[in-house]
Amino acid sequence: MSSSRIQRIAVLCATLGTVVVAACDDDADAEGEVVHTEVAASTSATPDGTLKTHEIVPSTPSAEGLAYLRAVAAIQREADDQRGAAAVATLQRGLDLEVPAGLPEAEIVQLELASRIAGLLIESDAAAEAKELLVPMLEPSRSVPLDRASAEALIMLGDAATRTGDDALAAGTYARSIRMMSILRQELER
Amino acid sequence: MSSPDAKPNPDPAERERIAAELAALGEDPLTDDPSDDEALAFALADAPDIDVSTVQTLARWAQPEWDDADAELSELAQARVWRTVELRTKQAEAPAPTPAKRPLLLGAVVALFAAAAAVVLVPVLSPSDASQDEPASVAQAPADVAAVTAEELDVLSMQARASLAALDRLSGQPRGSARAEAMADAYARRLEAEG
Repeated sequence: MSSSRIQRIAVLCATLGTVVVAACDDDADAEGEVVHTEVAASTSATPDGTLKTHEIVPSTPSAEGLAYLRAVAAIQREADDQRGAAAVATLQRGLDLEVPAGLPEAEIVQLELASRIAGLLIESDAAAEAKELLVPMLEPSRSVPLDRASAEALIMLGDAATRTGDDALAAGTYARSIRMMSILRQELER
Repeated sequence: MSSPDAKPNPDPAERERIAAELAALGEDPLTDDPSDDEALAFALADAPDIDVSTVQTLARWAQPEWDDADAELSELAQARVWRTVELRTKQAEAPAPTPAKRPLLLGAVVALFAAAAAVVLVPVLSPSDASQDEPASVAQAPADVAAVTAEELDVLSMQARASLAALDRLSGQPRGSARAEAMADAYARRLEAEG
């Protein structure tokens, strides 16, 4: 990698960093509300670093919500002891569970399930399937939860895009994940 | 990866190694000038883990809070980090002529300037800012960013993973199935409290 390439990487980071515009509503207090924010810009000829986020505000707990979260946790535990296709199938069961109404937390657990599935698919040379799974959940036009699960899922999508030769998607997605984690770090350090 | 305080006193073989490394970085050769002590001290640092240092440095540079004025690294150390990145990715690169033969240090300085430009802009758009409903800024990416090389993707991937690791260390939260269980437990406590 020559010095000019090093410069290009920095310019890429700086450029994607500036096209990403994040903002979060700190005044959210309504239960279950998905607090929205964010706009960004990009051009079709460049990696899309648009990052739209929303904060997951805890909902009013319900028996149905608890049953769902317990079921997902059990499935995650079950997958811990499995490998390859068996683990993918188990985690997919979790992703297919019907989400009860009024449970915004489900977005986070679904992203975590999808990240695990994508990681397993990439390991088994099925990066295209991983990309197909994650793109609809993470496309730049869609708001994602302001959470570690989103950042990890974005990294997985970046990996899948890299493996499938979609370099523009990979670059934009990695940049979005880095920006997401910067916001999360700022929140933690407040 | 800051320079140690000890007065450097390299033996001839060490001095030769350091001189070769400086030459590879495009630096001026060592002299007896006391200002060269920092370079010598850094080079003689007690077996620094350059891989860990590189990742830590890249992670720090990826943070919007990072400020050039707070950088602990000397110019030589910064150049060395980039040099390490270069060596890590060189295997995947076919031999090709460099379009412009500028010193690596100059490249690092330009790179830092570009990163600093992002640092200046990003805090303006941070979540704590008041205006939430309107686009805070729109920036246009230069056209040549569209073609991303494999090496550049490697660095972005590494930065993203380093940021995730740093975030996990900072938050201390469980991951994977442990987090799913923790979320369910917290939800159950809330349900019980409200029931």
